[in-house]
Amino acid sequence: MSLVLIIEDEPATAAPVKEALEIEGIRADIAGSGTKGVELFRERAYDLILLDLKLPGLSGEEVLNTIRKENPFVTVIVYTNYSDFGEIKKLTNMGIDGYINKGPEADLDELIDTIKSKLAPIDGDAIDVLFREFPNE
Amino acid sequence: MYEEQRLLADTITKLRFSDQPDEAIALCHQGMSQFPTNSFFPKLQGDICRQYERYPQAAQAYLKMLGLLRPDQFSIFATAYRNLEKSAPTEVMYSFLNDIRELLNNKCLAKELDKNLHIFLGSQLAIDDNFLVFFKQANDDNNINFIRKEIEKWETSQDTSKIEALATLKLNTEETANSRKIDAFLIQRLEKLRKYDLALSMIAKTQKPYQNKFILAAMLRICRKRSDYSFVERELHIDDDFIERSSFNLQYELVYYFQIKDDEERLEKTLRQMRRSAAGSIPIARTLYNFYLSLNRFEDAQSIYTHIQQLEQSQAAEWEQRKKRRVNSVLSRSEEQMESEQAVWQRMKELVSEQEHTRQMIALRDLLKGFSHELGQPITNVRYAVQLYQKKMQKNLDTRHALQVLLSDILLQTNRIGMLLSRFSPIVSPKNESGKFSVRECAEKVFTDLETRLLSQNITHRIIGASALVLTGDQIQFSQVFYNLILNAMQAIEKNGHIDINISVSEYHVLTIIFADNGPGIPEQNFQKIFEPFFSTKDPTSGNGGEGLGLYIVWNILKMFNGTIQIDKNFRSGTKFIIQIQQEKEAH
Repeated sequence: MSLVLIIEDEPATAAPVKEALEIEGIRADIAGSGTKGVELFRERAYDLILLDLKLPGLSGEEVLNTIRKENPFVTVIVYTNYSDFGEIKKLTNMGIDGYINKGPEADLDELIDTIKSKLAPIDGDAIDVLFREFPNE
Repeated sequence: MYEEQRLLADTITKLRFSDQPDEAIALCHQGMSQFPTNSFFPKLQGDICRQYERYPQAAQAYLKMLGLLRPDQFSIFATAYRNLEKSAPTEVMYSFLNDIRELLNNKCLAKELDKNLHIFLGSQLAIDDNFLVFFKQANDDNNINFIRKEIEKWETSQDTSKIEALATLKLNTEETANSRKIDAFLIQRLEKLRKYDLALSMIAKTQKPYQNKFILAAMLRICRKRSDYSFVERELHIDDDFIERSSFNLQYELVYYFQIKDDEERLEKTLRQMRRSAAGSIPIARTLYNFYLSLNRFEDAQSIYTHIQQLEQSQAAEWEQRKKRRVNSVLSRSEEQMESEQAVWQRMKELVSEQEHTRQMIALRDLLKGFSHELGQPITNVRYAVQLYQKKMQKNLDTRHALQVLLSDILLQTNRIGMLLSRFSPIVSPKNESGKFSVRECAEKVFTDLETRLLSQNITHRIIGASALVLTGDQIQFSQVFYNLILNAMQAIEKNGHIDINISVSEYHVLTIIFADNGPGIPEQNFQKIFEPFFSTKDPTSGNGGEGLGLYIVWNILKMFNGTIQIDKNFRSGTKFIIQIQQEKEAH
């Protein structure tokens, strides 16, 4: 079963995401701050990290930086309601695997679908499936 | 075939989690011999060995897996490596690294994997036994020529991870080294590679007391490039004496530094110092000219421009004389030249006023951006809540309770939107009850409104100034100025403190309100930003404001009253605001 880390300071946003993932059979932890997020990331083996950019304390960008320094290969999806193109471009250069809009265009189904597709790409062969079906711990 | 693999993997996992590691590992071996190209069984073996703390075996298994991975599967190795690193002892990781290095040297990995390994392990890979010998040599300045050549060689072969590795080793060793010069050289290379964190750590570790002027300039320059001067603030004491002793390179950096720090006095001092050095040097004069332009100081720029031309002419003159030619026409500037320069200045001045306009547009854009962000959050929450409920309906998971949760979520979030909008009402919809009101009484009324909260936080206040001092306008609207300032002060003080308000008027009918509290004060780096909308250091979800609008509202209301607000940058025992408002001229 896959394990996702949600780094999001708003409980009212994080809770429905976690619940929707669980309906799809994906486990998820919530970190309410960037510091907590980094802490959990170091502790547990996550298959994917969902990262809000606007966080109190350690910013999303700093969190991404730390994660990338320690593991350039873990999948990170950023979701935020910035619509600043420059911002997104900068993040893409820092290495993100996906970007999803919140705000007026927020779409939970789209978010869940994106996460699912990143966790199990359609073109994966049997070994990929094996890799994903068996836990890391 | 896939079903067979799956069945085997299932059995292994069952054994693994029922405390039968040996049996599980035996089956992994069976899997490996049955499906020799499958990287999954070595991975499983590695995971099991790691779980049961058989680290050397885990490393061996992962190494085997690495050899079998498809080029696009590198992240599987990366995760396994990092997880092993968390629990395995250093010796195991060291010999694991040696094995990986050997694998790389034998060139038996796919190109993509090879590349990713270098990105992933970078400087760790560089440190082998030979490298440790080199590291010892690099701890002695007698070897500087050799070390320099070696490092330059790395640079030409783009083997820069070795430079990082050398610095990392130096940082992590306790050994005393006699290598200030080598270290300085290394720092210079690190800066060039933009490894700023490493460079700064090296500076702090090896260059104290800071005297080398290249290192000093590098410290300021790196901080400028990282837009973060905290390192310099921690390590250097920059006073007037420092400015006087500084060379041109350092002065150049100081100009940027004092601009960021908003220290106009020292900025001026540095510029004067540069001006002195510019007397005989065209490049310095040109730099200074550019600084003046960027600071919108056109008179100064113009004067240095004239100076540059004189320098150029005298240089040309010298040159001409040396060639024993007559110099005549070069010295006098033509009418046309003068005129065109005049046009340039005119244009520059126009540009500045355009800049002012652009600045206002940027402020508006920031406000809208902040606003849409603040609204975006509750909208996201409502949409997510609704979509989650729909999902539950589709899967027949909906209950009365889920519906209740949904509805109360929606009410909560829309309430939040409403609260945000109502914060703007003092600016958007003034009551337009214009009249004369006493500023002192206006402040007193706000204190009375907040009395219970002030008492519970044990905050006292004092107002100095005659009740006869008046402003003309909407008193309710103006009371928002005091209301927001007092609320900010209360939040800053938390418990036990004092607020002082001093109201006075000058002979030119400028009303001054000084508002001071004895709280912790505002950190200097935030001075520039506090009046920006949505700038906040508080947690926005805590309720009770914190969205960063208080001072923005204050600033806007004062604008309507033809007034200004500034923070007293020199006040250190709390926060002090200075408000100045032009009183309306007596009409009768």
